[in-house]
Amino acid sequence: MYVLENGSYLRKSGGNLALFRDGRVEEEIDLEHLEQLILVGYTSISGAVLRMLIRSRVETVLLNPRGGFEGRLSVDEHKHVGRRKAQYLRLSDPGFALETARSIVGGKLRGQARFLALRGKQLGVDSLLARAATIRAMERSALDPAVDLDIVRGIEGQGTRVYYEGFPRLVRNPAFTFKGRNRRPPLDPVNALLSFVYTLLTSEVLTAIKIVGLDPYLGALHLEDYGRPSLACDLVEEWRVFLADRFVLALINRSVLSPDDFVYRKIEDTDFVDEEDLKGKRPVEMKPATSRALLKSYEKWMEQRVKPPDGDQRLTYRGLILEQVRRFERYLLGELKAYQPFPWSQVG
Amino acid sequence: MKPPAEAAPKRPAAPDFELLFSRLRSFIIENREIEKCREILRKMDVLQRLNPEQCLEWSRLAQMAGEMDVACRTLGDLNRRHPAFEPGWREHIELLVLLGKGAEAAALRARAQGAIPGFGQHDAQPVHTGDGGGDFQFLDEPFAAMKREERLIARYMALFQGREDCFARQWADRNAGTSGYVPVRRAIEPADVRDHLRGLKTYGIYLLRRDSRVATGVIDADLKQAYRTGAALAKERSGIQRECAYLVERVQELGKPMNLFALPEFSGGKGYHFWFFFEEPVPARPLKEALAALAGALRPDLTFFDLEVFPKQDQLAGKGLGNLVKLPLGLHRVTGKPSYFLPKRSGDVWQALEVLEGAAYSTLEKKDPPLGKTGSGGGVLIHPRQGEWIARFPELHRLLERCPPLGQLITACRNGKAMGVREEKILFATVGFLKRGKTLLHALLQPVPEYNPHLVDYKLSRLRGTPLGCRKIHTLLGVALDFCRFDSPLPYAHPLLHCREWMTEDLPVAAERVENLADALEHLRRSLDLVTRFLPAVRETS
Repeated sequence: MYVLENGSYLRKSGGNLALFRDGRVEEEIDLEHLEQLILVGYTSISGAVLRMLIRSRVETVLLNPRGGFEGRLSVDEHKHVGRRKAQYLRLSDPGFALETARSIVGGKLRGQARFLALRGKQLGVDSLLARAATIRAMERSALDPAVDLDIVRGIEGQGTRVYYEGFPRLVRNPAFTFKGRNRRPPLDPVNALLSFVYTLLTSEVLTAIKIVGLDPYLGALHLEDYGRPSLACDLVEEWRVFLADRFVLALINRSVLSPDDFVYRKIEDTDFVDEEDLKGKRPVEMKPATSRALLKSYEKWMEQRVKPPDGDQRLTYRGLILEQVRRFERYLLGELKAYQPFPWSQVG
Repeated sequence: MKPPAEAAPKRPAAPDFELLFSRLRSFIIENREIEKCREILRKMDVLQRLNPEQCLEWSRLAQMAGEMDVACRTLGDLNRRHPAFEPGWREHIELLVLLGKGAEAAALRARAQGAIPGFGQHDAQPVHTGDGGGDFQFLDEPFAAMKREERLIARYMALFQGREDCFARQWADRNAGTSGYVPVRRAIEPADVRDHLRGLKTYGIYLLRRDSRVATGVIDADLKQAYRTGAALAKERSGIQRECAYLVERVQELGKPMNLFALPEFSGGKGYHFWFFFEEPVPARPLKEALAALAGALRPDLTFFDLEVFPKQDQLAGKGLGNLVKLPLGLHRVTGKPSYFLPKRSGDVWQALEVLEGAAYSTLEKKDPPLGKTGSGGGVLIHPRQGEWIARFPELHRLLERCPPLGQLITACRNGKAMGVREEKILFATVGFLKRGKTLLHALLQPVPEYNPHLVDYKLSRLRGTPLGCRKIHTLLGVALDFCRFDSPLPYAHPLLHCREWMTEDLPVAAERVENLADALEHLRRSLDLVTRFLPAVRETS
C-alpha cells in the first residue's frame, strides 16, 4: 500500500511505477506486489499508469487533502464482494453480532476508564479514580457471556454517563464549564467542541471503512437505521477518548481557546424540523475562524505518529484507524478469532 | 398401623442469586433506585453463601454502583476464603491500582504470589502509564495564527476607516473593458476584510463619515495617462521607476514636519496610495488642506505622476457617499495585480499586515510649511537611520531636497537601483565636483549592484571641466520640470549652487556649452582618447 503525498506524480516506468516529486524520481514502486494504492490530496497519475492499475487490478482509492474519501477506481469489485458477503452474513448472526458489540463496548469502556485513571492520578482527584473503577467493572460486566445485546448497550450507555459525570474535573480552564454531555444541539462550548470533533472522527472511520471496502451502513452495536453509518458509529467508539477527548481537553486546558471564540444565541424554539433547522438554531457554535483553526490543529493531531504495539513502523493516528478497520475486516473474514479494539495501554 | 410420619420440615428454597444479580445489574445500568441497590450490596453476610464467581460478580456490581469499599471488602473476603481463585486476586489488585492504592496493591500481589505459585509471571504485556503518544505543543500553532490574524484584521479595520454604514465593492468586466464600484449598504466586517485580503473580493471605503469627519486621508499618485501604455511607457520606464522611488521617499519626508505620517502602498492599478491615519476622526476640510499643501509642495518635482488628495469633499451633500478609495492589499479587479505596502511586496499577506502595527497616527495640530525647493527643515522628526545619513552626508541631503532630478538619482542609489550610463554620468559630473566628491560617490554607489570601487576612482580621476548644468541634466534624464533659480555670478546654473559651501574652491568657471574653438578641440581630443582606449577591444570582438 502506498500513500502518496501532495504534489506527487506517478508515471509508468517499465513494469513499475515511478513516483515523481519536484521533477525527480522519489521512489520506484513494484507493481507486482502492490495491492492497494491510496492517492491523497493533489496527486496525479498518467493515463498509462491508470491502465496499468486497471490491468493489474490494483485497488486505487482517492482521498482529499484532509484524508476524506473521494472515490475509488472501480475496476471490478470482486474483492469487495467477499468482504461484504462476510460482513452481511456474520453480522446478521445474532451470536456474532453480540460478540462484536461486546468487544466494541469493552474497548470503549476500557479507554474511558484508563483516561480517568491517568488523569485522576496526575491531578490527584480521587473521584476520577473511583469513576475509572466503576467503568472498569462495567466493562467486565459487558464482556460477561451471560449478558445479551440489550444489556451490553445499556452498560455502554451507563458507562458513558459515569464517564461524562467525571468529565467536569478534567476541564481545568476556569473559563469553561461542563455540566454534562448534551448534543443535538450542544448547549455549551465544551459540548460543541466534543460534537464537532466526534463528527470529524466518525468521518475518519467512515473513510477507512470505505477504503477497506466494507459496507459502512451495517454494524453490530448500533442498530440499522436509514442513512446511519452504523459500522462507522461502532468502530469510532474505541477512538473517542484517545483521539477526540484528549484533543479537545488539550485545547481547552492549554487556554488555546477562549469563550470569545464562540458565538452564543438564545434559542427559544427547540423543535428542529431537520438538520438544516438544527444548524440554524444552535445555541452555541464556533466562530468561522475558530473552526478553521480547529481543523488545522486537528489535521496536525491526526498526522502525529506513534508506534503500534504489534508493528515496527510508526503510523499516523489516521493510519492507526485504517489498521484497526483492516483488523475488523480480517475478523469478519474469519482470519481473526476476536476483534480487539485499539490497545491504548500498549502504545508507548 | 403405623403412625403417620411427621411431615419433614420444609427447607427454604435456595435463593436465586443469578436473578438477584441480573436485577441489580439492570437497575444499575438503567440508573434506577441506585440507593436501594447500594443498600443490598452492603449486606456482606450474603457473601458466605456465594461461590467464588458469585463473589466476584458481587464485587463488580458494588464497583458499578460506586461502592468501592464494599467491592474491596468483598474481594478481600473472597481471597481469604478462596486463595486459589486467581481472578479474585487479579481484580482486587487492579481495583487497588485503579484507586491509586499502589502500596496496598503491591502487598496484595505478594500475598497472591504466596497463595498461587507463579502468579502474574506471564503478565508480560507492557502497560504504559503515559498518555500513549500525542504531542500537544504544536496544536496551539493554528490558534496562535488565528489570534494573530484577528489582531491584524482589527488593526487594519482601525486604520482604514471609512463611512460607518457603507463600503464599496469593485467590479470589472475585462472583456468589455469596464469597471466600477457598487455600494454595499452595511458596515464592513472582518469576514469582508478577509475576503478582500485573500483576493476573492475587492472593496473600497468611502472616506467621509456621516458626520463629515475623516479618520483616513489619502494622497493618490497616478501615472499620467500618456505614460501608461505603449512606446511612451517603454521609453520612460527607467525615469518612471526613478520618480516612483523619489516620490515614495519625499512624501514621507515632507509629511513628517507637518505631523502627517504616510504609509505608502502600490495600489495594484495606476500608481500609489499614501495613507494618513488619525486616531480620532478629524474634520475633512483641514485634512484636505494639509494634504493638498503636501501634494502641492511635491507636484513641481514630478514629471510622470499626478497627485490627487482624498477626500475631495468637505462634507457630504445630498444622497452622495463622497469619494472612495480601494482598500490596500488584495487584488485590483481591473489589472489583476496585487496591491502591497512599500518598500517591497511580501508573499504572505499576514506578514505584509504586520507593517500596520508600526503605522503612526497623524495629527493636524502642526502646520509647518513642507520642505520643498525653498524650505528648510525645522522641527523635523527624523528616523534615526535617516538622521545618521544626513549627518554623514549633508551635501547629498541638501541636493536631495533642493534638486529633484539629482534627488531622484540619489534616492535610486540608496535603494540599490542599477544606474544607466546617463545617470552615472550626471552623478559623477555633479557630486564629483564637491570637496568630498570621492567619499560621497563611493557612499552613494556602494548599494548599487554594479558598484566597483576601482572604477569609481578611475572615473573620478577622469573628471574634467565643470559640473553638469541643470539644462543638460534635465535633458539627459528627460524630465520636464521647472529650473531652479539662482542668484549666481556663474554663466550657467548647475545643482551644486545649492551647496556652494561644499564646492571645491578652485572649480574652473566655464560655460556649459563650448564657447571657443580651443575648447572644442580639447573636448574632441579627450573624446578621441576615450574612444581609442576601447579600439583594441572592439577589434578583438570583431
